[in-house]
Amino acid sequence: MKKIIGVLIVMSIAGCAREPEVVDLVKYMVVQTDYDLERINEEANIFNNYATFVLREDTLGFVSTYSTDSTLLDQPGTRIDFVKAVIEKVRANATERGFTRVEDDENPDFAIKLVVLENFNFYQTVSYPGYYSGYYGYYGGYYGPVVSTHASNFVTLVIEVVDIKNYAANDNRYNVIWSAYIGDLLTTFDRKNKILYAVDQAFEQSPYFSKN
Amino acid sequence: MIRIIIIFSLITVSLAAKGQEYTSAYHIGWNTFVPFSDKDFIGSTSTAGIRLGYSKFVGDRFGFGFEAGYSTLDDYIPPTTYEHPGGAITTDVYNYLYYFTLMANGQYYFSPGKRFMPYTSLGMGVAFSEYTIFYNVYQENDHNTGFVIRPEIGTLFKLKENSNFGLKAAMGFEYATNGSDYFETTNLSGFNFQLGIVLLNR
Repeated sequence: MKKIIGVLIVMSIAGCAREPEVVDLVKYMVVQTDYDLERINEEANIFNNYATFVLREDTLGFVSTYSTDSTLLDQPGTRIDFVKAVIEKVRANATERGFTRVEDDENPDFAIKLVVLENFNFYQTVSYPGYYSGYYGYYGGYYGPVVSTHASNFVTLVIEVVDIKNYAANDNRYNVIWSAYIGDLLTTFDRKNKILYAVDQAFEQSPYFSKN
Repeated sequence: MIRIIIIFSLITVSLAAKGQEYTSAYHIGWNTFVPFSDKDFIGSTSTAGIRLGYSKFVGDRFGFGFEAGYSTLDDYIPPTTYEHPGGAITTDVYNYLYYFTLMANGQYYFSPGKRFMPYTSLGMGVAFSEYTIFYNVYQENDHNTGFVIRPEIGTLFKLKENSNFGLKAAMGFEYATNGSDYFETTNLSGFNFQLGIVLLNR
C-alpha cells in the first residue's frame, strides 16, 4: 500500500512539472527587430535619405562554432534549401519599401547583410563593437557582431542594414541601422516557408523601413 | 450479575470509543488553482497540482501539521508583436508558473469523531515560485521566494464509521508575496480547491 502511494505521489509530482511540447513551441519563429534610435526617431528617419541598396546574389553569410564554412549555398534536397528564396524575399520587401537594388560598384546607399549564426546565443549576449572594418562587415572577413558562444544549438538568421552612404561622415565606420533576428532555424518543420513568413514579418513590424 | 454485565459493557464501550480517537492523519490531494493576481501572466485555472500533508490531532478539536503543495500554472499567448523603444519582437509565448509551498498549519474540527469532520484551518509558510516564459526554443525564467498564507475550509469524510481511510475536500484562498520584477508581477493569489484521500492513524 505504501509503495502504491509512493508511486502515486511521484507520478503526480511528475505530472505537475510539465513544459510545453516542442512541436507547439516551434510552430512560429521568433522575429526580433532593432533599429538605431539616433537615426530613426520622430524627427528623422535615415531611410528617407536612401535610394539604393546592395544585396548578395545567391549566398548567405554563415558563422558557426561547428563549421569553418563562411557561406551557405542552396543544397536542394537538404534542409538548406532556403538561401535564394530568402534573398529574393528580402529584395522584394526592400524594393516594395521604395529602394532600388544596385550592384556593388554602383555606389549603394546601404547594404543588406544576411548571415546565419549557428550555435550562438545571439538573443542573450550579442554586442556590437560599433564599427565595421571591412566593406559590408563579414564580406571582408570580419563579422561585425561580437557574440558569446553558448552551449546551445540555436540557429538564427540575421538581417542587417549597414549604412554605406555616411561611411565617411561616421569617421569611416559602417553603422548598423536596422537588424532582424529570426529563429530558431534548426528546430522547426516546414523550415523554408516559416523563414519566408518571418522575413515578411520583420519588415511588417518595421514601418519606418521605408523611403518616405 | 446484571450490574457486572452493565459495568463490563460500559468499560468495553469506553475502550472502543477511546480506540476510535485518531492521533494523526496523512493526506494527499489533487489541487486546482484559480489565479486572481497578475492575470496578464497567467489567467487560466490550473488542475496540475498536488498537496501532501500531515496533521497531529491535539485534544478533541484541534490539529497541527504541515503541508507541501506543488502546482504548475500555464497560459498561452498567440503570436503578438511587442514594441519597445528601438525595436519590436513578434512571437507566441507560453507562460508557465511553477509554484511550490511549504506550510505549517492549524486546524479546528467542528464535529470530531463523526464520519463528516468539517474543519477550518490556517496555514502559513514559504512559497517558491519560478516564472518561466517559453518562446520557440528560447526561454527565460525568474525564481522567487516569498511568504504565503492560506485560510481554508474543508471536510474529512470517513468511508466507514471506524475506518482509517477517508476522503478530503477543501477550498481556500491563497496569498503569496512572490512576485517577479522581471515579468512585472506583484504577487500570487487565488482560490484553490482540493480533493484527496486521508489516512487516519489511531
